[in-house]
Amino acid sequence: MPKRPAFYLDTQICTGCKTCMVACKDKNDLEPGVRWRRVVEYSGGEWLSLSDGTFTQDVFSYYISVGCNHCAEPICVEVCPTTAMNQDEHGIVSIDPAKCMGCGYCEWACPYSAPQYQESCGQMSKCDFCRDTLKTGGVPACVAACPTRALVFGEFDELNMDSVGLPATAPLPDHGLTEPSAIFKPHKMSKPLNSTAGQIANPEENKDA
Amino acid sequence: MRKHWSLVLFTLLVQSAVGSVWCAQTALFSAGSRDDLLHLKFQIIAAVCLVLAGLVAAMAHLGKPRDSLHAARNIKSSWLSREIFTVSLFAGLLAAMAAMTHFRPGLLNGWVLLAGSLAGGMALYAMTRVYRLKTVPSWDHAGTPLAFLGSALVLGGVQFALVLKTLQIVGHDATGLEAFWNIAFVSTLIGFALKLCAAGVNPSRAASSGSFKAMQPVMQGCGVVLWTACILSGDSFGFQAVLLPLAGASLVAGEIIQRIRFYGVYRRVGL
Repeated sequence: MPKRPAFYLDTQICTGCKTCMVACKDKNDLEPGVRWRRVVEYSGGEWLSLSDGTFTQDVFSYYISVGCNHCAEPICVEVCPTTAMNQDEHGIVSIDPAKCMGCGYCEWACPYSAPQYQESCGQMSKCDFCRDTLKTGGVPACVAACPTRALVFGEFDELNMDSVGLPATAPLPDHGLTEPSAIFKPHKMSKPLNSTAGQIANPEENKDA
Repeated sequence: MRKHWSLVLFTLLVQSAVGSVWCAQTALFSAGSRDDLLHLKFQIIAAVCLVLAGLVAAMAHLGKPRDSLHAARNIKSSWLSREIFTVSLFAGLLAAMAAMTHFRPGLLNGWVLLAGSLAGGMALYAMTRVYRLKTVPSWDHAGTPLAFLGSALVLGGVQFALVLKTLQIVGHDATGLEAFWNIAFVSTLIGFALKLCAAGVNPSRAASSGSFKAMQPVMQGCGVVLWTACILSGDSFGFQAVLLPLAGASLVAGEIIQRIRFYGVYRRVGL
């Protein structure tokens, strides 16, 4: 098991097929509306009028598969009143169901929408990096299912070597807020942080549960 | 985001209790006679009831209320944990004071209530910090503490005045209450002014719908006018008995509208 496991997403080759999302729901038997991993489609652009009277377009679209990023400075752990949200020695953030009272404060605070409310048990729930699988030498369900190998996982420091200093791209939040253990290799059309050039095209698939 | 009516109730009830205790504190330091203290005993009892009602409302927000026993385990880093701790401390101190005042009325004085007032202040501060999340810019600004402090003063003033009026209606001696009325009115006026300031510094004001946004200051403005008319009516008991509840209803309705808007403008950074 890696010392500090991390996800790596190459948004250039992510096709937005959502197999990772389905595999996660299947493996963890998640109820409708709860998505520990989601695929955000960020798109925008329009027709542009050129000086010679012709038209061109600058339409763009790219996908970002995102779950819990098991941040180095997890705001969910910081704000949780019961200490149900905790981080283990590998940096994996998980919820202790014996303590969670389902207040939803972690859901308010997390900029990745990682903690999600489960109606059936009245508690919060989230990705635990398939810790049970990792311990037996396996890979997380989302990573195993990715058909293009856009989503991989590994040791944070090794994955991060090529990506040191890469800023977050829209619609992700600033990495400085929580120091995520996830690397998002930008798409060639990626827009800068806080860009308003595009919008999330599939909000109904990403809203709070 | 789940339904937040229970949080609207919780925050408003606790803030009202805090404001009324501050009014009682001011009144205690300016109390003319021992008879006045009887009125303040009922103020403390009313505040305890409101805080307890608020805590019950807050429980309704939880998915698993049974586990709320763990709620104050992360005082080290969680403002929500600190809020629950300080509100419980506030309720506990007030309950102890109410019991003490009942059995030994002579023991109640400004210095004894000061512990409750300070606990109320701490609870209000913690409540404010709960919403100042760095990932929620629509709440993380100076308007939030200003609005919460304003709510405490507006609602506290209304509660204080209504309890006094109720005592008068049920036949308690109203002698020496003039100074207490003024404390309640000044508290509400300052609170109203703070709320206007809070609306001015709120960066999310553009995000809300125009007519709904204007309802809070309009309703509360009407409340202040009605209350002023009530004061100007002098000794007319019947006139006051009608105007004061109307003013209170108008001010409380404005608070409820503002708080619903507050939760409605929630916007987080990122996804």
